[in-house]
Amino acid sequence: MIMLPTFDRIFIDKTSEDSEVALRVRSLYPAEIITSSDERQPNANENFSLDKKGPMTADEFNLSKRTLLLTTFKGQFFKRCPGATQKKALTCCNYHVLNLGSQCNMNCSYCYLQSYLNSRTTKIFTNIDQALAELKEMADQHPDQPFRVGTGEVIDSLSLDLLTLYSRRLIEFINQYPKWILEFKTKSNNVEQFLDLKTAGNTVVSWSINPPYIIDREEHGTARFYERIAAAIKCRDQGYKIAFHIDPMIWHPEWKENYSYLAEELNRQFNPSDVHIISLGSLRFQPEQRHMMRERFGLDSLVTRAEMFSSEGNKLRYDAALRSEMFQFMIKKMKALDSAWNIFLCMETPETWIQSFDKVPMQVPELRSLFKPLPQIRDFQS
Amino acid sequence: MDFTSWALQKKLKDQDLLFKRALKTPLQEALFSKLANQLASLNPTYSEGLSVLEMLTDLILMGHNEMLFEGAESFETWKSALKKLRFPETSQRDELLKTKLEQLPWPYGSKVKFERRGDKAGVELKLFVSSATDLTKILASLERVQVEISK
Repeated sequence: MIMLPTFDRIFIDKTSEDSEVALRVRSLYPAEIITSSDERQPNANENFSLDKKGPMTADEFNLSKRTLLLTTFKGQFFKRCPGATQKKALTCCNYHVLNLGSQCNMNCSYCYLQSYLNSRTTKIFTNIDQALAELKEMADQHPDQPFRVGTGEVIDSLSLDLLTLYSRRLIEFINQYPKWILEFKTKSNNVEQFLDLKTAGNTVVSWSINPPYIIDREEHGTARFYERIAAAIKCRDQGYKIAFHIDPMIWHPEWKENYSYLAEELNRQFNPSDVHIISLGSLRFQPEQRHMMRERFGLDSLVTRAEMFSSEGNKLRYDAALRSEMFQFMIKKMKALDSAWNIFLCMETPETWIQSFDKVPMQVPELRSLFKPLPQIRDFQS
Repeated sequence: MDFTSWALQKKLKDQDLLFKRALKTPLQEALFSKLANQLASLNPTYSEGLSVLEMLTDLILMGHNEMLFEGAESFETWKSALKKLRFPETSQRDELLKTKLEQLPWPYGSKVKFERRGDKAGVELKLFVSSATDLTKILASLERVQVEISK
Protein backbone atom coordinates (compact mmCIF):
# COMPACT_ATOMS: atom_id res chain seq x y z
CA MET A 1 0.00 0.00 0.00
CA ILE A 2 1.30 3.46 -0.90
CA MET A 3 1.65 5.83 2.07
CA LEU A 4 0.94 9.19 0.48
CA PRO A 5 2.29 12.48 1.84
CA THR A 6 -0.46 14.44 3.59
CA PHE A 7 -1.71 17.65 2.01
CA ASP A 8 -4.72 19.76 3.02
CA ARG A 9 -4.88 21.60 -0.31
CA ILE A 10 -3.43 20.97 -3.73
CA PHE A 11 -3.30 23.67 -6.41
CA ILE A 12 -2.54 22.91 -10.03
CA ASP A 13 -1.32 25.77 -12.13
CA LYS A 14 -2.80 26.06 -15.62
CA THR A 15 0.64 25.49 -17.14
CA SER A 16 0.82 22.14 -15.33
CA GLU A 17 -2.73 20.88 -15.90
CA ASP A 18 -1.80 18.40 -18.62
CA SER A 19 1.42 17.18 -17.03
CA GLU A 20 1.94 13.56 -16.04
CA VAL A 21 2.42 14.66 -12.43
CA ALA A 22 -0.92 16.48 -12.37
CA LEU A 23 -2.70 13.45 -13.79
CA ARG A 24 -1.06 11.23 -11.21
CA VAL A 25 -1.83 13.61 -8.33
CA ARG A 26 -5.50 13.78 -9.45
CA SER A 27 -5.62 9.99 -9.41
CA LEU A 28 -4.13 9.74 -5.92
CA TYR A 29 -5.84 12.53 -3.93
CA PRO A 30 -9.53 13.33 -3.37
CA ALA A 31 -10.93 15.84 -5.86
CA GLU A 32 -12.27 18.10 -3.11
CA ILE A 33 -8.79 19.16 -2.00
CA ILE A 34 -7.57 19.88 -5.55
CA THR A 35 -8.04 23.30 -7.14
CA SER A 36 -6.99 24.41 -10.58
CA SER A 37 -5.30 27.74 -10.22
CA ASP A 38 -3.41 30.34 -12.14
CA GLU A 39 -0.61 32.00 -10.23
CA ARG A 40 -1.19 35.21 -12.13
CA GLN A 41 -4.84 35.41 -11.12
CA PRO A 42 -5.06 34.38 -7.48
CA ASN A 43 -8.55 33.65 -6.28
CA ALA A 44 -9.70 36.58 -4.17
CA ASN A 45 -11.64 34.21 -1.92
CA GLU A 46 -8.52 32.36 -0.80
CA ASN A 47 -7.27 33.27 2.64
CA PHE A 48 -3.73 33.16 1.33
CA SER A 49 -2.17 34.07 -1.96
CA LEU A 50 -0.07 31.71 -4.01
CA ASP A 51 1.86 34.76 -5.14
CA LYS A 52 2.71 36.04 -1.66
CA LYS A 53 6.46 36.18 -1.12
CA GLY A 54 8.76 37.33 1.67
CA PRO A 55 9.65 35.99 5.11
CA MET A 56 7.06 33.63 6.53
CA THR A 57 5.61 33.42 10.00
CA ALA A 58 5.84 30.06 11.78
CA ASP A 59 2.17 29.40 10.98
CA GLU A 60 2.66 30.22 7.30
CA PHE A 61 5.68 27.93 7.16
CA ASN A 62 3.71 25.09 8.76
CA LEU A 63 0.86 25.65 6.31
CA SER A 64 3.26 25.66 3.35
CA LYS A 65 4.16 22.06 4.19
CA ARG A 66 0.52 21.03 3.85
CA THR A 67 -0.24 23.00 0.67
CA LEU A 68 1.00 21.59 -2.61
CA LEU A 69 1.36 23.58 -5.80
CA LEU A 70 2.08 21.92 -9.12
CA THR A 71 3.61 24.49 -11.39
CA THR A 72 6.31 25.04 -13.98
CA PHE A 73 9.72 26.49 -13.14
CA LYS A 74 10.76 29.44 -15.26
CA GLY A 75 14.42 29.74 -14.27
CA GLN A 76 17.56 27.65 -14.51
CA PHE A 77 17.19 24.19 -12.99
CA PHE A 78 20.83 23.15 -12.93
CA LYS A 79 23.08 25.09 -10.54
CA ARG A 80 26.18 24.79 -8.40
CA CYS A 81 25.71 23.90 -4.74
CA PRO A 82 25.45 27.01 -2.49
CA GLY A 83 28.74 25.93 -0.85
CA ALA A 84 30.47 26.89 -4.08
CA THR A 85 29.45 30.52 -3.67
CA GLN A 86 31.45 30.71 -0.43
CA LYS A 87 34.69 29.30 -1.79
CA LYS A 88 36.77 31.80 0.17
CA ALA A 89 35.30 30.60 3.48
CA LEU A 90 34.38 26.97 2.79
CA THR A 91 35.98 23.97 1.13
CA CYS A 92 33.56 22.89 -1.59
CA CYS A 93 33.13 19.45 -3.17
CA ASN A 94 31.84 20.43 -6.64
CA TYR A 95 28.28 19.37 -6.00
CA HIS A 96 25.67 20.53 -8.51
CA VAL A 97 21.98 20.74 -7.84
CA LEU A 98 18.87 20.18 -9.91
CA ASN A 99 15.87 21.64 -8.10
CA LEU A 100 12.67 19.96 -9.19
CA GLY A 101 10.57 21.50 -6.44
CA SER A 102 10.86 23.25 -3.11
CA GLN A 103 9.80 22.71 0.52
CA CYS A 104 9.55 19.37 2.25
CA ASN A 105 6.70 17.33 3.68
CA MET A 106 8.88 16.25 6.60
CA ASN A 107 9.71 18.49 9.53
CA CYS A 108 13.25 18.50 10.91
CA SER A 109 13.82 21.06 13.64
CA TYR A 110 17.10 22.25 12.10
CA CYS A 111 15.91 22.39 8.48
CA TYR A 112 17.55 25.26 6.64
CA LEU A 113 14.48 25.75 4.48
CA GLN A 114 13.03 27.62 7.47
CA SER A 115 15.22 30.57 6.57
CA TYR A 116 15.54 29.89 2.86
CA LEU A 117 12.06 29.63 1.42
CA ASN A 118 9.67 32.50 0.89
CA SER A 119 6.83 30.74 -0.91
CA ARG A 120 3.67 29.68 0.92
CA THR A 121 3.45 26.29 -0.79
CA THR A 122 5.30 23.07 -1.36
CA LYS A 123 6.14 23.23 -5.03
CA ILE A 124 6.63 20.47 -7.53
CA PHE A 125 7.86 21.65 -10.91
CA THR A 126 6.14 19.68 -13.61
CA ASN A 127 8.43 20.69 -16.51
CA ILE A 128 11.01 18.00 -15.88
CA ASP A 129 11.57 17.74 -19.64
CA GLN A 130 13.09 21.21 -19.55
CA ALA A 131 15.29 20.25 -16.60
CA LEU A 132 16.52 17.18 -18.46
CA ALA A 133 17.16 19.26 -21.57
CA GLU A 134 19.39 21.58 -19.52
CA LEU A 135 21.20 18.63 -18.05
CA LYS A 136 21.63 17.04 -21.47
CA GLU A 137 23.14 20.21 -22.93
CA MET A 138 25.75 20.29 -20.15
CA ALA A 139 26.34 16.54 -20.18
CA ASP A 140 26.84 16.50 -23.94
CA GLN A 141 29.44 19.25 -23.60
CA HIS A 142 31.31 17.50 -20.76
CA PRO A 143 30.44 13.80 -20.90
CA ASP A 144 33.81 12.78 -19.44
CA GLN A 145 33.88 15.16 -16.48
CA PRO A 146 32.78 13.66 -13.16
CA PHE A 147 29.88 16.03 -12.46
CA ARG A 148 27.82 15.16 -9.38
CA VAL A 149 24.19 16.20 -9.63
CA GLY A 150 21.92 16.13 -6.60
CA THR A 151 18.19 16.69 -6.47
CA GLY A 152 17.85 17.08 -2.71
CA GLU A 153 18.85 20.68 -2.08
CA VAL A 154 15.54 22.47 -1.48
CA ILE A 155 13.29 19.43 -1.55
CA ASP A 156 13.85 15.87 -0.39
CA SER A 157 14.81 13.81 -3.45
CA LEU A 158 12.43 10.95 -2.76
CA SER A 159 9.82 11.88 -0.14
CA LEU A 160 7.43 13.17 -2.85
CA ASP A 161 8.68 10.80 -5.53
CA LEU A 162 5.56 8.67 -5.18
CA LEU A 163 3.71 11.61 -6.72
CA THR A 164 6.22 12.49 -9.44
CA LEU A 165 8.17 9.30 -10.19
CA TYR A 166 10.95 11.65 -11.28
CA SER A 167 13.51 9.20 -9.93
CA ARG A 168 12.74 6.94 -12.87
CA ARG A 169 13.22 9.69 -15.46
CA LEU A 170 16.47 10.79 -13.84
CA ILE A 171 17.96 7.31 -13.53
CA GLU A 172 17.17 6.54 -17.17
CA PHE A 173 18.74 9.85 -18.17
CA ILE A 174 21.93 9.52 -16.14
CA ASN A 175 22.46 5.93 -17.33
CA GLN A 176 23.44 7.51 -20.67
CA TYR A 177 26.33 9.43 -19.05
CA PRO A 178 28.33 6.90 -17.03
CA LYS A 179 30.93 9.46 -15.88
CA TRP A 180 28.25 11.67 -14.36
CA ILE A 181 26.84 10.87 -10.96
CA LEU A 182 23.22 11.40 -9.94
CA GLU A 183 22.60 11.62 -6.22
CA PHE A 184 19.24 11.30 -4.52
CA LYS A 185 19.38 12.63 -0.97
CA THR A 186 16.54 11.63 1.31
CA LYS A 187 15.28 11.02 4.83
CA SER A 188 12.46 8.84 3.49
CA ASN A 189 12.39 5.13 2.70
CA ASN A 190 10.65 5.55 -0.68
CA VAL A 191 12.77 3.46 -3.03
CA GLU A 192 10.46 0.73 -4.34
CA GLN A 193 9.24 2.93 -7.20
CA PHE A 194 12.58 2.75 -9.07
CA LEU A 195 14.19 -0.48 -7.89
CA ASP A 196 13.11 -2.36 -11.02
CA LEU A 197 15.25 -0.03 -13.17
CA LYS A 198 18.76 -1.11 -14.01
CA THR A 199 21.45 1.37 -13.02
CA ALA A 200 24.64 2.05 -14.92
CA GLY A 201 26.29 2.26 -11.52
CA ASN A 202 26.24 6.05 -11.46
CA THR A 203 23.10 6.68 -9.41
CA VAL A 204 23.81 7.12 -5.72
CA VAL A 205 20.92 6.88 -3.30
CA SER A 206 21.97 8.69 -0.18
CA TRP A 207 20.50 9.11 3.24
CA SER A 208 20.91 11.93 5.62
CA ILE A 209 21.28 9.94 8.80
CA ASN A 210 21.71 10.46 12.50
CA PRO A 211 21.60 8.18 15.54
CA PRO A 212 18.05 7.00 16.43
CA TYR A 213 18.21 9.28 19.49
CA ILE A 214 18.45 12.36 17.23
CA ILE A 215 16.05 11.10 14.55
CA ASP A 216 13.36 10.48 17.17
CA ARG A 217 13.76 13.93 18.72
CA GLU A 218 14.61 16.24 15.85
CA GLU A 219 13.63 14.68 12.51
CA HIS A 220 9.83 14.68 12.69
CA GLY A 221 7.86 12.88 10.02
CA THR A 222 10.93 11.20 8.52
CA ALA A 223 11.62 7.50 8.09
CA ARG A 224 13.02 6.07 11.32
CA PHE A 225 16.64 4.91 11.55
CA TYR A 226 16.06 1.25 10.68
CA GLU A 227 13.57 2.13 7.92
CA ARG A 228 16.31 4.14 6.24
CA ILE A 229 18.83 1.33 6.74
CA ALA A 230 16.37 -1.19 5.27
CA ALA A 231 15.77 1.04 2.23
CA ALA A 232 19.54 1.44 1.76
CA ILE A 233 20.00 -2.34 1.86
CA LYS A 234 17.32 -2.75 -0.83
CA CYS A 235 19.11 -0.23 -3.06
CA ARG A 236 22.49 -1.83 -2.51
CA ASP A 237 21.07 -5.25 -3.32
CA GLN A 238 19.76 -3.89 -6.65
CA GLY A 239 23.19 -2.57 -7.60
CA TYR A 240 22.68 1.06 -6.64
CA LYS A 241 25.51 2.92 -4.99
CA ILE A 242 24.57 4.26 -1.60
CA ALA A 243 25.90 7.08 0.56
CA PHE A 244 25.29 8.49 4.00
CA HIS A 245 25.39 12.07 5.16
CA ILE A 246 25.88 12.19 8.90
CA ASP A 247 24.72 15.74 8.84
CA PRO A 248 24.00 17.65 10.96
CA MET A 249 25.87 16.07 13.81
CA ILE A 250 24.12 17.38 16.89
CA TRP A 251 25.86 17.77 20.22
CA HIS A 252 24.12 16.36 23.27
CA PRO A 253 25.51 14.98 26.53
CA GLU A 254 25.54 11.38 25.21
CA TRP A 255 26.79 12.28 21.73
CA LYS A 256 29.81 10.00 21.84
CA GLU A 257 27.76 6.92 22.74
CA ASN A 258 25.05 7.69 20.18
CA TYR A 259 27.38 8.49 17.29
CA SER A 260 29.45 5.40 18.14
CA TYR A 261 26.26 3.38 17.84
CA LEU A 262 25.56 4.94 14.45
CA ALA A 263 29.08 4.16 13.21
CA GLU A 264 28.86 0.57 14.46
CA GLU A 265 25.46 0.04 12.85
CA LEU A 266 26.63 1.40 9.49
CA ASN A 267 29.71 -0.81 9.71
CA ARG A 268 27.58 -3.83 10.69
CA GLN A 269 25.07 -3.40 7.87
CA PHE A 270 27.37 -2.29 5.05
CA ASN A 271 30.86 -2.73 3.66
CA PRO A 272 32.90 0.31 2.67
CA SER A 273 32.73 -0.95 -0.92
CA ASP A 274 28.89 -0.63 -0.79
CA VAL A 275 29.03 2.98 0.29
CA HIS A 276 30.13 5.62 -2.20
CA ILE A 277 30.87 8.22 0.48
CA ILE A 278 30.10 9.21 4.04
CA SER A 279 29.97 12.93 4.61
CA LEU A 280 30.03 14.68 7.95
CA GLY A 281 28.61 18.07 8.82
CA SER A 282 27.79 19.75 12.07
CA LEU A 283 24.70 21.73 13.02
CA ARG A 284 24.67 25.11 11.30
CA PHE A 285 22.06 27.64 10.28
CA GLN A 286 21.59 31.23 9.21
CA PRO A 287 21.26 33.57 12.21
CA GLU A 288 17.74 34.70 11.21
CA GLN A 289 16.52 31.09 11.29
CA ARG A 290 16.76 30.91 15.07
CA HIS A 291 13.54 32.89 15.54
CA MET A 292 11.48 30.56 13.35
CA MET A 293 12.95 27.47 15.05
CA ARG A 294 12.36 28.89 18.51
CA GLU A 295 8.75 29.69 17.65
CA ARG A 296 8.10 26.31 16.03
CA PHE A 297 9.95 23.99 18.41
CA GLY A 298 10.35 25.93 21.65
CA LEU A 299 13.51 25.27 23.65
CA ASP A 300 12.87 21.54 24.15
CA SER A 301 14.85 20.75 21.04
CA LEU A 302 18.57 19.98 21.09
CA VAL A 303 18.80 22.30 18.11
CA THR A 304 17.18 25.39 19.60
CA ARG A 305 19.04 24.81 22.88
CA ALA A 306 22.34 24.42 21.08
CA GLU A 307 25.21 26.73 21.98
CA MET A 308 25.84 28.40 18.65
CA PHE A 309 28.25 31.16 17.64
CA SER A 310 28.74 33.23 14.54
CA SER A 311 31.32 31.75 12.20
CA GLU A 312 32.90 32.28 8.80
CA GLY A 313 30.24 32.52 6.13
CA ASN A 314 27.97 34.20 8.71
CA LYS A 315 26.27 30.97 9.78
CA LEU A 316 25.82 30.04 13.41
CA ARG A 317 27.85 26.95 14.35
CA TYR A 318 29.14 25.14 17.39
CA ASP A 319 32.45 26.26 18.86
CA ALA A 320 35.17 25.46 16.29
CA ALA A 321 37.13 23.24 18.69
CA LEU A 322 34.00 21.25 19.54
CA ARG A 323 33.23 20.76 15.83
CA SER A 324 36.70 19.43 15.23
CA GLU A 325 36.38 17.14 18.24
CA MET A 326 33.10 15.75 16.91
CA PHE A 327 34.48 15.21 13.39
CA GLN A 328 37.71 13.67 14.65
CA PHE A 329 35.75 11.36 16.92
CA MET A 330 33.57 10.12 14.05
CA ILE A 331 36.44 9.79 11.57
CA LYS A 332 38.54 7.88 14.11
CA LYS A 333 35.61 5.66 15.02
CA MET A 334 34.76 4.77 11.42
CA LYS A 335 38.39 4.25 10.43
CA ALA A 336 38.96 2.04 13.48
CA LEU A 337 36.02 -0.12 12.39
CA ASP A 338 37.37 -0.28 8.83
CA SER A 339 40.08 1.93 7.41
CA ALA A 340 38.47 1.74 3.95
CA TRP A 341 35.52 4.01 4.85
CA ASN A 342 35.58 7.08 2.61
CA ILE A 343 34.70 10.12 4.71
CA PHE A 344 34.64 13.84 4.00
CA LEU A 345 33.38 17.06 5.58
CA CYS A 346 30.49 19.04 4.14
CA MET A 347 30.50 22.86 4.08
CA GLU A 348 33.45 23.25 6.42
CA THR A 349 36.34 25.65 6.59
CA PRO A 350 39.89 24.66 5.54
CA GLU A 351 40.94 25.08 9.23
CA THR A 352 38.43 22.45 10.34
CA TRP A 353 39.58 20.11 7.56
CA ILE A 354 43.17 20.42 8.72
CA GLN A 355 42.22 19.91 12.37
CA SER A 356 40.12 16.86 11.49
CA PHE A 357 42.23 15.17 8.79
CA ASP A 358 45.59 17.01 9.05
CA LYS A 359 44.99 17.73 5.36
CA VAL A 360 42.84 19.68 2.94
CA PRO A 361 40.79 17.45 0.58
CA MET A 362 43.12 17.78 -2.41
CA GLN A 363 45.78 16.09 -0.24
CA VAL A 364 43.53 13.08 0.46
CA PRO A 365 43.95 10.75 -2.55
CA GLU A 366 40.49 9.14 -2.32
CA LEU A 367 38.79 12.56 -2.12
CA ARG A 368 40.84 14.42 -4.73
CA SER A 369 38.50 13.64 -7.61
CA LEU A 370 35.51 15.05 -5.70
CA PHE A 371 37.17 18.38 -5.04
CA LYS A 372 39.02 18.87 -8.34
CA PRO A 373 37.73 22.04 -10.03
CA LEU A 374 35.27 21.39 -12.87
CA PRO A 375 34.25 23.55 -15.84
CA GLN A 376 31.80 26.27 -14.81
CA ILE A 377 28.23 25.68 -15.85
CA ARG A 378 27.01 28.41 -18.08
CA ASP A 379 24.02 30.52 -17.21
CA PHE A 380 21.14 29.19 -19.28
CA GLN A 381 19.37 32.52 -18.78
CA SER A 382 22.04 34.51 -20.60
CA MET B 1 13.64 53.83 33.27
CA ASP B 2 11.11 51.10 32.36
CA PHE B 3 11.24 48.90 29.27
CA THR B 4 8.74 50.96 27.25
CA SER B 5 10.80 54.12 27.71
CA TRP B 6 14.05 52.30 26.92
CA ALA B 7 12.49 50.77 23.78
CA LEU B 8 11.31 54.23 22.68
CA GLN B 9 14.66 55.80 23.39
CA LYS B 10 16.49 53.08 21.42
CA LYS B 11 13.89 53.18 18.62
CA LEU B 12 13.16 49.45 18.84
CA LYS B 13 10.95 48.03 16.08
CA ASP B 14 8.60 45.04 16.35
CA GLN B 15 10.98 43.13 14.09
CA ASP B 16 13.75 43.54 16.70
CA LEU B 17 11.70 41.55 19.19
CA LEU B 18 10.83 38.61 16.91
CA PHE B 19 12.18 36.20 19.53
CA LYS B 20 9.35 37.20 21.87
CA ARG B 21 6.87 35.33 19.66
CA ALA B 22 8.09 32.08 21.18
CA LEU B 23 6.75 33.03 24.61
CA LYS B 24 3.40 31.26 24.68
CA THR B 25 2.00 31.49 28.20
CA PRO B 26 0.92 34.52 30.30
CA LEU B 27 3.38 33.39 32.99
CA GLN B 28 6.28 33.45 30.52
CA GLU B 29 5.21 36.85 29.22
CA ALA B 30 4.87 38.29 32.73
CA LEU B 31 8.35 37.07 33.68
CA PHE B 32 9.78 38.50 30.46
CA SER B 33 8.13 41.83 31.19
CA LYS B 34 9.64 42.00 34.71
CA LEU B 35 13.08 41.06 33.41
CA ALA B 36 12.82 43.56 30.54
CA ASN B 37 12.04 46.34 33.02
CA GLN B 38 15.03 45.33 35.12
CA LEU B 39 17.23 45.38 32.03
CA ALA B 40 15.94 48.81 30.97
CA SER B 41 16.82 50.19 34.41
CA LEU B 42 20.47 49.39 33.60
CA ASN B 43 20.15 51.38 30.34
CA PRO B 44 22.18 49.08 28.05
CA THR B 45 22.95 49.97 24.43
CA TYR B 46 20.51 48.91 21.70
CA SER B 47 22.49 45.84 20.61
CA GLU B 48 23.56 44.73 24.09
CA GLY B 49 20.01 45.12 25.34
CA LEU B 50 18.55 43.06 22.51
CA SER B 51 21.15 40.36 22.91
CA VAL B 52 20.31 40.03 26.63
CA LEU B 53 16.55 40.10 25.95
CA GLU B 54 16.95 37.23 23.51
CA MET B 55 19.03 35.28 26.01
CA LEU B 56 16.35 35.91 28.66
CA THR B 57 13.66 34.61 26.29
CA ASP B 58 15.64 31.41 25.72
CA LEU B 59 16.22 30.97 29.44
CA ILE B 60 12.52 31.48 30.24
CA LEU B 61 11.67 28.85 27.61
CA MET B 62 14.28 26.54 29.14
CA GLY B 63 12.32 26.70 32.40
CA HIS B 64 14.39 29.21 34.39
CA ASN B 65 12.36 31.60 36.54
CA GLU B 66 13.05 34.11 39.33
CA MET B 67 16.70 32.99 39.57
CA LEU B 68 17.21 34.92 36.33
CA PHE B 69 17.35 38.10 38.44
CA GLU B 70 20.55 36.98 40.18
CA GLY B 71 23.31 39.50 39.53
CA ALA B 72 20.87 41.91 37.89
CA GLU B 73 22.18 44.95 39.78
CA SER B 74 25.03 45.43 37.30
CA PHE B 75 24.72 44.92 33.54
CA GLU B 76 28.10 43.23 33.06
CA THR B 77 27.67 40.88 36.03
CA TRP B 78 24.16 39.99 34.92
CA LYS B 79 25.14 39.40 31.29
CA SER B 80 27.97 37.17 32.39
CA ALA B 81 25.68 35.16 34.71
CA LEU B 82 23.07 34.77 31.97
CA LYS B 83 25.69 33.63 29.45
CA LYS B 84 26.78 30.91 31.85
CA LEU B 85 23.18 29.73 32.06
CA ARG B 86 22.50 29.91 28.32
CA PHE B 87 25.89 28.53 27.21
CA PRO B 88 26.84 26.21 30.09
CA GLU B 89 29.00 23.77 28.10
CA THR B 90 30.92 26.47 26.27
CA SER B 91 31.38 28.50 29.46
CA GLN B 92 32.90 25.49 31.15
CA ARG B 93 35.15 24.69 28.19
CA ASP B 94 36.22 28.34 27.93
CA GLU B 95 37.13 28.45 31.63
CA LEU B 96 39.33 25.36 31.26
CA LEU B 97 40.92 26.71 28.09
CA LYS B 98 41.51 30.10 29.69
CA THR B 99 43.32 28.50 32.64
CA LYS B 100 45.38 26.32 30.30
CA LEU B 101 46.33 29.19 27.99
CA GLU B 102 47.15 31.63 30.76
CA GLN B 103 49.60 29.17 32.29
CA LEU B 104 51.68 28.88 29.14
CA PRO B 105 55.20 30.37 29.05
CA TRP B 106 54.30 33.49 27.08
CA PRO B 107 57.15 35.93 26.34
CA TYR B 108 58.24 38.05 29.30
CA GLY B 109 56.39 41.38 29.44
CA SER B 110 53.64 40.31 27.04
CA LYS B 111 49.98 40.86 27.83
CA VAL B 112 47.70 37.87 27.36
CA LYS B 113 43.93 38.24 27.30
CA PHE B 114 41.56 35.31 26.80
CA GLU B 115 38.72 36.04 24.37
CA ARG B 116 35.87 34.37 22.56
CA ARG B 117 35.40 35.68 19.04
CA GLY B 118 32.38 34.00 17.53
CA ASP B 119 32.98 30.25 17.20
CA LYS B 120 36.63 30.50 18.21
CA ALA B 121 38.21 30.96 21.62
CA GLY B 122 41.80 31.99 22.10
CA VAL B 123 44.09 34.66 23.43
CA GLU B 124 44.91 38.12 22.28
CA LEU B 125 48.63 38.61 22.74
CA LYS B 126 50.22 42.05 23.03
CA LEU B 127 53.98 42.35 22.65
CA PHE B 128 56.42 45.22 22.67
CA VAL B 129 59.51 44.83 20.50
CA SER B 130 62.38 47.34 20.51
CA SER B 131 65.23 45.38 18.99
CA ALA B 132 66.19 42.31 17.01
CA THR B 133 67.33 40.71 20.28
CA ASP B 134 63.85 41.22 21.74
CA LEU B 135 62.40 39.51 18.72
CA THR B 136 64.75 36.55 19.04
CA LYS B 137 63.75 36.07 22.69
CA ILE B 138 60.05 36.39 21.88
CA LEU B 139 60.27 33.84 19.09
CA ALA B 140 62.05 31.41 21.39
CA SER B 141 59.31 31.87 24.00
CA LEU B 142 56.60 31.39 21.41
CA GLU B 143 58.22 28.18 20.25
CA ARG B 144 57.99 26.90 23.83
CA VAL B 145 54.32 27.91 23.88
CA GLN B 146 53.76 26.03 20.63
CA VAL B 147 55.35 22.90 22.10
CA GLU B 148 53.14 23.15 25.20
CA ILE B 149 49.96 23.71 23.15
CA SER B 150 50.72 20.72 20.94
CA LYS B 151 51.07 18.38 23.94
